[in-house]
Amino acid sequence: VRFDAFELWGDGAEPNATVVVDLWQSYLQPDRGDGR
Amino acid sequence: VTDPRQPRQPAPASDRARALESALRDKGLVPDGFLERFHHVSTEKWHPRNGARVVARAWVDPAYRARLLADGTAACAELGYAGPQGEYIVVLEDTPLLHHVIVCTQCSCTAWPVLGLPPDWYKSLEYRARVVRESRTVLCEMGLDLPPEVEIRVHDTSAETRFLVLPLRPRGTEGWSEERLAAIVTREAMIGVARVTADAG
Repeated sequence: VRFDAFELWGDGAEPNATVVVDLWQSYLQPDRGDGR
Repeated sequence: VTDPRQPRQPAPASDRARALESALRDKGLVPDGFLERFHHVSTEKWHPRNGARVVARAWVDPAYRARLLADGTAACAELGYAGPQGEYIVVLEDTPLLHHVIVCTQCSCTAWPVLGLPPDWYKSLEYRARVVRESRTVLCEMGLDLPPEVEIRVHDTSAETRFLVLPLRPRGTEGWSEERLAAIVTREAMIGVARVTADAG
């Protein structure tokens, strides 16, 4: 799963950086659309 | 439970290793010659020069490069590099606008058969915490100043996959033999914290 640095760190993130983490379905929950 | 805000200094790693070895030996849990064999293999057989050979082959042989990117484990095994911590090797191809860097935020995983055991800086809490948070700054401090248009993609070794960066082949190495190319590829470049430069050759 690839995240833009701003998704992870907000305004403190460095530009043009991404973080890739091996995540599997058992770690993940569906996005309920309310930001939770 | 120790309060993480007031860490107690542990004994030196060498003392702790000796204590652990002694406890395991007392329980008869260390097979004869096991530690000696591990030490021998980890210093002689699992070595970054293996990864350097993989990278050099990929630079000179487009068909090998394609196989390496499609199935890193199989392509490394073609050259004889396989074993523990190398069961699922994924090769990350750098381009002029995309630079990969590897970290293991939870511990110190590397692809042993091609990168060897991890260097101390890779295991440091500082590298593991900071390279995901401020990769550009960390790489710059380590001597790799990437232009802003280059995306830095940090790969966290969070599961079974072990990564190997396929760095850009440096200019000025046209016509070099595979062997000469392999000699300039460093472990740091295959982790993604350095460039390969022709100067070293």
